[in-house]
Amino acid sequence: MTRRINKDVLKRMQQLDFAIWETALYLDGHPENTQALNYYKKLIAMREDAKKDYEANVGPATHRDVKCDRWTWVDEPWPWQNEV
Amino acid sequence: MWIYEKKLQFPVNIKTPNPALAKLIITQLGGPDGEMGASTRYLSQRYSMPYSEVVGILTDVGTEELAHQEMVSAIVHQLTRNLTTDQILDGGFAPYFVDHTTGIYPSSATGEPFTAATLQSTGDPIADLSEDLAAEQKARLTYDNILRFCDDRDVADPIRFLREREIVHFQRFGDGMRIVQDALDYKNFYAYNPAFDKK
Ligand SMILES: [Fe+2]
Repeated sequence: MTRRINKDVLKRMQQLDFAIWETALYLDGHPENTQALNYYKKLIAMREDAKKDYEANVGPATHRDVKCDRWTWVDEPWPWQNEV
Repeated sequence: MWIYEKKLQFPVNIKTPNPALAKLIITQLGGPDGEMGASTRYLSQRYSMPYSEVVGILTDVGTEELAHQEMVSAIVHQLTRNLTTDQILDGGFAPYFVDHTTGIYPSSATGEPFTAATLQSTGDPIADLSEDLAAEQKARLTYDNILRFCDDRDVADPIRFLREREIVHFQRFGDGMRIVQDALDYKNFYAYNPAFDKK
């Protein structure tokens, strides 16, 4: 099946995930930095809030996020399949 | 994209070093039928695969192979801990040791570095899946050959797990082949390449 994805919701999650990633990389070398850790936790909380919206408008990010009564994991598009 | 999960897929807890065995098992990391080649093959083949269910199989099996690289590396690492120079010499491990000490370097049992020359991504679904089915059998028999030399249960148990996974992957690629063939003309599966030709 093909599903229409909301590009704004996708972009929002990509921005959040990138911020989380970048902060994690920094924390790896600075595990005692409480300021960075608090920022990381704030981002994770924002991600939790954004997750429902993402799953409804983009789809499951991993197969553990499939909540439908159908295996939506294999719905198109895959990330490299853009509309032309 | 990918996220790392900080656990092995199956536990690896080896107490007794065995550099001779490590030298054989490293082939399932970087050898001709090893896990690095497996993940590279499946994850590369996804882009030309026209059937979404099969993209799912390639993605999920390819991802599991990444976890298997970690398991094979953990086995080799634990088999080469706390070695004396005598153990290194007696185990035939010295040639590997001079180049890599006890670091993990993806290579075959005969010392060839990992190469993508042992795998294919053809852009043809039936050819790719035929290669994948063969790859799983080749990995399975390599684990069978490794098991001939494993008298330590700590090593044999995770190797048996990995061997079993090859059989399951073979089954799943069989599902993939069926999906591809069901989408094609049963009178001539090869009439056109659904990943390239316009029907
Ligand atoms: Fe496999």
